[in-house]
Amino acid sequence: MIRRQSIGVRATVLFVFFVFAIVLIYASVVRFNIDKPEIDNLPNVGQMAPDFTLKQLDGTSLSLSSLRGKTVLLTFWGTYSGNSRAEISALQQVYEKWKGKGVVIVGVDIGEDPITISGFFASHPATFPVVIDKSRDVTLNTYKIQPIPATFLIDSSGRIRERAVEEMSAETLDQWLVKLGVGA
Amino acid sequence: MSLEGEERRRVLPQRPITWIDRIWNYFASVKIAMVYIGLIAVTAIIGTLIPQENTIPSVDPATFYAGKFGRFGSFMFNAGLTRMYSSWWFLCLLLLLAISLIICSWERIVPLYKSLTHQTVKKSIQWIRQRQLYYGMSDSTDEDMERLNSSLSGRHYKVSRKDGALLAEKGRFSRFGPYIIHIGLLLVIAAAFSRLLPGWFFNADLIIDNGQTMAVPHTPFSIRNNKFMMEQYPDGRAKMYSTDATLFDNGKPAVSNTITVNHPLKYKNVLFFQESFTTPRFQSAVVTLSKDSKHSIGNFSLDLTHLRSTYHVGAYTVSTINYFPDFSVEGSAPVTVSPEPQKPVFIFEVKGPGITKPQPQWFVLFMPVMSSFLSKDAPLQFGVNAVQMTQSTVLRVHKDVTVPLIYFGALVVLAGLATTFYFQHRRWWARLEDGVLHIGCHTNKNWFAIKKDFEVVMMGLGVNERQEQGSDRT
Amino acid sequence: MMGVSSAFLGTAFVSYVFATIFNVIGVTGRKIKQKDGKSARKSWFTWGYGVAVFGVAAQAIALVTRWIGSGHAPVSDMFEYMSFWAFCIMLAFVVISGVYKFPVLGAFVCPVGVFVLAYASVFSRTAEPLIPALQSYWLYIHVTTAALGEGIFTIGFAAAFMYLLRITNVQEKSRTGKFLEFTVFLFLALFSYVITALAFNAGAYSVQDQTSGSIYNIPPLVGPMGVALGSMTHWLGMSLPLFDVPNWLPGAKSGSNFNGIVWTLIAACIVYGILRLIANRPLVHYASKWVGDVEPEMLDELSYRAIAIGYPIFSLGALVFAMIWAQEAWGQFWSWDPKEVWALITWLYYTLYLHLRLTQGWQGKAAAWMAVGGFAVVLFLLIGVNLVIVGLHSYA
Repeated sequence: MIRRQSIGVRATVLFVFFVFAIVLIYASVVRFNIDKPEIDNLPNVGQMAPDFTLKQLDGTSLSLSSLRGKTVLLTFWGTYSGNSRAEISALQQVYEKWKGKGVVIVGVDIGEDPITISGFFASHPATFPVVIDKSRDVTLNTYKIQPIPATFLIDSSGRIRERAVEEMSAETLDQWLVKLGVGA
Repeated sequence: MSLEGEERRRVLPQRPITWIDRIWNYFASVKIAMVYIGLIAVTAIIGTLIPQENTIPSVDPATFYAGKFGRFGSFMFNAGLTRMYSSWWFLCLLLLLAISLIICSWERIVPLYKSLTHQTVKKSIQWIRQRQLYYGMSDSTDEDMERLNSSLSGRHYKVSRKDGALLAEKGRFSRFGPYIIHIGLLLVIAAAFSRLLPGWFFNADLIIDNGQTMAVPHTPFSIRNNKFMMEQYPDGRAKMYSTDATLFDNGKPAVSNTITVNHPLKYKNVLFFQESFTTPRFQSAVVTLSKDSKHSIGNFSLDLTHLRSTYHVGAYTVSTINYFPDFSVEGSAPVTVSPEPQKPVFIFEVKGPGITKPQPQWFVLFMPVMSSFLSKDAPLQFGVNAVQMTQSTVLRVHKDVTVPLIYFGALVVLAGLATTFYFQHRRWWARLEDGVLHIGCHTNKNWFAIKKDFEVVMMGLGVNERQEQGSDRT
Repeated sequence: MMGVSSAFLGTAFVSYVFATIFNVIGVTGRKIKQKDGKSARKSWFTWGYGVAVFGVAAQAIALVTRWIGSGHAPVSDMFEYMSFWAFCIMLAFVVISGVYKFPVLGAFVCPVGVFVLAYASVFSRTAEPLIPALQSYWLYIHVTTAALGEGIFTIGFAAAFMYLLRITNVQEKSRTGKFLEFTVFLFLALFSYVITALAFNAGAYSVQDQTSGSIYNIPPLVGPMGVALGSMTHWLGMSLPLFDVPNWLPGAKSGSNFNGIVWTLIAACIVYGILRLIANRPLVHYASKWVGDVEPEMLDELSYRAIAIGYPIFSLGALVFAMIWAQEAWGQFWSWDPKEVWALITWLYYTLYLHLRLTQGWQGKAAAWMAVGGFAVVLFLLIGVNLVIVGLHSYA
C-alpha cells in the first residue's frame, strides 16, 4: 500500500527546486551577462566615461579628464575600417561647426602606427586631436569595445549621454549636440 | 513492470488533491518528461541551423547577421536566437527536465524498492500459470522441487523458500539501473550549473608575442612566451606547434614548460592550452637603396615595430610618408585592411644629391619585385636584403573546477546504462501441489536469455518438451 | 603498406558485395532450387554469412595496415571514418547474426554496409598527416566507440525496416506503404550519388572556384556564377553553372555540397524512375516478399535489442569520450558546436525511443518507424552536419 507523500514534503521539494532554479537563471543571465551580446559590455549611457591618458600624434599626452568642462565626442576608429575612414570627414565637418561652442572631438586610433595615421590624414584632413591606443588596452579593457567605429557623446561633467556602434553621419552628430543643448 | 504495478496502483486517497499535488503529478509524468526531451532536441536542432555567435568568423555579430541574412538576420540576433544555448528559456527547459527527472524517479524508485524487498515467495498456482514461461510437471515430488532448487542455485540464482514454495531471483540490481542513470544526469546538470560559482570557471585567449609577458586575467599570474615553435608538413599545413613558456605567480617564476597541442601546462587548477597561432607577419627587414643593379648606395634597417619618420642612407634621406600594414585596394584607393603587418607597403620619399624633384615612391615590402615595377622611373630603387617574420602564439587559459564533477556524473550515467541494458532481472516461482510442480518464470528484458535458461533447467529436470506462453515481454 | 591496405580493403568490399548477392539470392531464390527447397536457401545464407565474415576479417587487416602505413589510427577523415563505420556495421551484423541466427537480416544489412563503404570511397583516399588537434589517442577511442554504437543502431534500423515490410500489406495503397517506398527511394539516392561521384572521379573531372577555393568534382549545375572556373565547364553542350549558389548557405564548401545534393536528387529520380518503369509496381513489393516468412515479433525484438545494446556504447563513444577528447584538446568539453549538438540530438532521439518503448508500450509499428527515423538522424549526424553546417568539427 503506497501512501502519497505529505503535502509538506511535496511542497518543500517543489519550492526549494524552483527557488534554486530562479537563482540559477538569474545568476547566469543577469549577473554574468552570458545572455547578452558582446556589445552591451561597453560603458552605458548615464555612466561616467572612464578616464584614460594616451599619446597624440605629436607625442604629447592627452587625458580625457583634462577635457572636463567641454563637450566631448569620443570616437574609436582605425584606418583599416571602411566605416571609420568614411566617418572621418563627417567628424571633421562637425568639429569645424561646433568647436567654437566648447565641443572637442577626440579620435582614439586603435593599434596603428603614427605614420599610417598621418599618411591617412594627408588625404583626409582632420584637425581634431587624435590619440593612439597602441596596446589596445584602453579600447579592449577600459571601454571593452569590439566592433568599430564606436562613438560616445560625453557632456561637460564627464557623463556619457549618447553612444553608438555604427558609422555616424554629420547630421546625426549634429542632432546629438543640439539635443544636449550645447551652445544654446 | 506489471508485477509491481498492481501494488503501486493501490493508492488510497488519504487526503484531497491540492494544486501542489497537481504540479507534482505533472512532473511525475513520464509523458511530460518526454515532451521536454523532445523540446530540447528540437530547439537544439534550430540552434545548429541558425549559426550561433560562437561559430561565426566575425567579432561584430550585429552587422554580420544583418549583412548575411538581411532583416531576418537582425530579427534572429535581437531575439537571441543566435545565442540560444545560453538563453534563459533554454536553461529553463534544462531545469524543467531536471525537476522532471527528480520527481519521476522519486515517484517510482520508492515503490520499486519496497516491492522488491518484500516479495511474496508463495504465489497462487493460477498466477504462476500466467507467467511468461510456464511448465506444469506432473508426477512430481519434493525431490523434484529440491532438484529445481539446486539447479537454479547452480545458475547463480538467489533462492528463497517458504512453505514449500520457491522463489529464485537474479539481477535485481538491474531494475535500479534507470534511476542510477537519472541521478548521473542530474549530477552532470548540477556540475554544469556550478560553473556559475565565482572563480570556478573562466576561459580566455591570450595572444602573446615572442618574449612578451602577459598578465593572466582573474588570477595573480602572468605568462611569458619564451619562444613559439612550429613544424610544417611539406604542403605547408601545421604539423606541430608549441610554446616554450614560463609562468609567474605573483611575479615569481613558478613553472617553465613547453606547451604543445593536447598537452597543456597546468598550475593550481589553471590550464594553459596551445590553442593556435597568428599568421606570420613581418617584423623587420634590411632595405637597400641603389641606383640600378650595379650601383648600390647602402641600406637601412626597417623595424616595423618602431618605424621612424626618416632614415639615412649615405648622403640620402628617406622619409616615410605613409605606411599600409596590410595593403589592399578599395575602389581605386590604397587602404590597409588591418593594423597587422601582413602585407606591408610604404610610401617613401628620397631626398639627396642628384634628386631635383623628390617624389613619393612605393615600396612593397611583401613583394619587392612590385616596387621596382611601380617605381621604374624613379632615380633610386628600393630592394630587400633580409626579412624577419614573427608570429604570436595563441594560448587558451582555462580554469574549470567542475570538470571532475562532470566526469563523475558521466561515470554514474554509464554505470546506470550498463546496469539497465546489459543485465536483467530474472525470477522463477515454483509450487508443488497435488503432485504437480508448477514452474513459472519472468524477465524484464532479454527474453532470449531466459528462454535459454528455461530450456537448460527443464532439460536438467528431465523434460524434453516445453510449453510456453509469451506475450508480456519487453 | 598503404598498397597492401588498399588491396585488403578492395577484397573486403568485393566480399561484402558477394555477401549481399548471396543473401539476396537466398531470400528470393526460393523459386530457383525448388527440389532442394529449404536446404538450398540455407546454403546461400551460409555462403553469404561466410563471405561476410571473410570480408570483415579482410577489412580488419586493411585497417591495421593503414594504421601502420600512415602512423595514425584510420579514423581521421571522411574516407577513413566511413570505412570504419562500414566495418562496424558488418562486424555488428556478423556478431548479432551469429547469436540470433537470423539469415534474412543479411539481405538488408549487407547492402547498407556496401553502400556505406562505397560512399567512403567517394572521398579522397590519401592518408593525410594529422593536424595537431587530432594527434591524440582520445580521438581514436572516441571515434571507434561512436562508430561501433552507430553500427549497432544500423542493425536496429535494418531489423525495423524488415519488420515494417513484413507487417505492411504493400499491395494496398497506404501511407505506410508510401513511406516505405520513400525509404527505398532514399537508398537509391545514396546509391546514385555514389555511382555519379565515382564516375566523375574516374573521369578526373575537376573544376575549381578560385575565389573560394572549393573544388567541384562533379559538373557544377549549381555553382558560383560570374567566376572563372576553368575549361571543364562546358559539359554536354551546356555552359555551366546553370544556377547560382544560394547565398544563405554558410561555408566555403557550401556550393559544391549543394551541387552534390542537387545531382543526387536528379540521379535518384532517374534511377528510381527507370526501376519503377521496369517493375511496373512500387519497389517495396519485391523487398516485402523477401521477408515473407519471418516472424514479425522476432524482428521487433531484434530491432529493440540492437538499439538497447548500442545505446550505452553510443553514449560512451559519441558523448563521454568526445567530451574527454574536447577537454584534452581544446580545454572545453562542451562548446555547443553543431557536431556535438547533433550527437546530443541523436542521443535524445534514442532516449525517446527507449522511453516510449519501455514505459509507454510503444512496440511494433510505432517503435519500428522510430528506429528507421533514428537511422536518418545518425546519417545527418555523420554526413549532414559536415555538408550543411559548418563548425570547427568539420574535418571528420
